[in-house]
Amino acid sequence: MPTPLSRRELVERCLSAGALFLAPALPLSVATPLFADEAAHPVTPPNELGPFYKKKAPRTTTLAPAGAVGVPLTVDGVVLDTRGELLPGAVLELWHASSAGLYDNEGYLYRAAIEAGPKGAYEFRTVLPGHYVGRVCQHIHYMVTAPGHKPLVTQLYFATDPAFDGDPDKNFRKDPLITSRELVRPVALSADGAAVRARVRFEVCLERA
Amino acid sequence: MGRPPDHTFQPQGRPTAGASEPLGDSVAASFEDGTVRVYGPGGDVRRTWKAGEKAFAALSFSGDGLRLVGGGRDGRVTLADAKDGHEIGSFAAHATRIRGLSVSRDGGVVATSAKSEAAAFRAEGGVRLFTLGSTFAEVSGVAVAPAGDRVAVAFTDVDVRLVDAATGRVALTISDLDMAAFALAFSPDGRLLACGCADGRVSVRDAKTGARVRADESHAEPIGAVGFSPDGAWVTSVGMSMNPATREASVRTTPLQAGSATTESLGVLPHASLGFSKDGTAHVASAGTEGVRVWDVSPPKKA
Repeated sequence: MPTPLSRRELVERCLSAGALFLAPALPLSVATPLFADEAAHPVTPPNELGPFYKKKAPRTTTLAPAGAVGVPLTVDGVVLDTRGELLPGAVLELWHASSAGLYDNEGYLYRAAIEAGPKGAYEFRTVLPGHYVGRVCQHIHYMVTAPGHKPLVTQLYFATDPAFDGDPDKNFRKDPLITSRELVRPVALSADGAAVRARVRFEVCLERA
Repeated sequence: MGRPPDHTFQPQGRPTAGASEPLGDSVAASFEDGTVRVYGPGGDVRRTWKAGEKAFAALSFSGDGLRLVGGGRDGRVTLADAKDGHEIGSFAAHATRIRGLSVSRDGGVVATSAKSEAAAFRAEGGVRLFTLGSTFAEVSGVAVAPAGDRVAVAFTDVDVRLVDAATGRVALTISDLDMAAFALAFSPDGRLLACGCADGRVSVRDAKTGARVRADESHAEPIGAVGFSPDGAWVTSVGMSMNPATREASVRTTPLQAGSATTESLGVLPHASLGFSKDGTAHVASAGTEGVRVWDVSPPKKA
C-alpha cells in the first residue's frame, strides 16, 4: 500500500511537475488519502533529559525491586509516528526516582530499556516516583528511539501529583520544566483489597527523521 | 560527620559562584551586588573586583592564576586581571545563563556552557571559535586543555566530546562511560583527561585515544570537582551532596602510577571547588550557609 503523501510532499511534487493546477483535477476519493496529514498525530512534546540518564539499562518490564515501598504503577501505551503508523521494535529507555525521591545511580533500580511489541504497544510496572529534591513534580524519564525517526527525550507527569493542587490545567507550570500540559497524564486508581494501584496511559509519538 | 574544615570564614554576603586559584591558595567568590572578592584561606580579603551590578553564575581562574573570568546570568563573559581586579574585556557568549566555565593556562581561550550548548572563544576580542550543541541533551561539564588547543564537552547523554578549538572538529568521542560527567579536567601536559561522573566514577583517559590509563575509581556520590596535581602524579576528586542532599561527600586522592587511593569524608558539601598550589598542596573550598569552608586535601608527600 503506498504511503500517503503529506501536504508538503504533494505540493512539492506538483511544483516539480510544473502543475499545481493538477491538484483540483484529482477525484476527491484520491485526494483525501493523499492529504493524510503528517500532523494527524502531534509529536510528543520533548522535555529535559536531566542529569541521571544511565546507559546499559536492563531489558525488563519491571522497574521496581520486589517489595519496593510505594503505590504500584502500571504504565502502558503505544509508540507511533505522526502519520499514525505504529512502531514495533521502538526502544523505550525509562528511569525515575524511587518513592523516596532518590535515583539509583550506582545500580539499575527503577531503570529499564523495553521494546515496543508487534503493534507498537508497551507496558511496564513500577511504583509511583517520589519527589526528587530540586524538582517540583513526580516524573518518569523517557528516551525513545526507532529506526527512521528522530529520538525523543521527554518526561511523563501525573495529574494526581500534590504539586498540582488538584488542578493540573492551572498549575502544571508550577514545575518550570513542564513545558506542555500534554505531558501530565490522568491516573486511574483502583483498590484491590487494601492496596491502591495506579495506571497511566502514555502514547508516544515520534517525528520521522 | 566528615573531617572538619581547616579554615572557615564568613564572607560579606552569600556567594553565588566560587572558584579556587589553580596555582595558589586563594578562593574567589562572586556576590549579588556584582563584587568578586579573592580571599586567602583564612578569610583575609586579598583583592576586590567590582564586576558590574549583578553576580556571576560561574567563576573560573585561568590555569596560571593571572586571569579571573566570570560567566553571567545574561550569558556574557567578563575577564579581569586576577592580581589587581582590573577589568580586561567582556563579550556575549550565550543567550541564556552560563552554567560552566573553563579557561586555558594563559587565559587566551575561554570555554563556556549554557543549557544545551558549549562554546569556545579567544579571550581577546571574544572571537567565537566554535559552538557545539545537542538537540536533546544538556551540557554537564566543560574543560579547556592547558594549551587552549582542545576543549572537552560532556553532555547528559553521557558522551564526552573532545573538540579541536581552532576548527571545531570533534576529534574524539568518549562513549563508554555509563553516566554523565559532571566534572572534567586535563592533566598539566594535556595528555590525560579526568572525567568525574554522576555515578561517582572517576575515569582517567588518554586525551588522544580515549583509552583508560588506569582502573576507574568510585565515590558513593556524584562527582562535583576533579583535578590533577601540578606534577601530574595525582588525581583528586571531590564528591557533592546530592541524591539525597544530605549525603556526605568525600575527597579521593589517587596516584596515577603505583599505589592506592585514599578517601575521606568532608561531610555535607552541596558544591565545591578544587585548587592546587605550585608546591603540590591542594585545597577544597565550599560556600554555603556555614560560610566558606576550606580543607587542605594535599596528596601524601613523597618519602
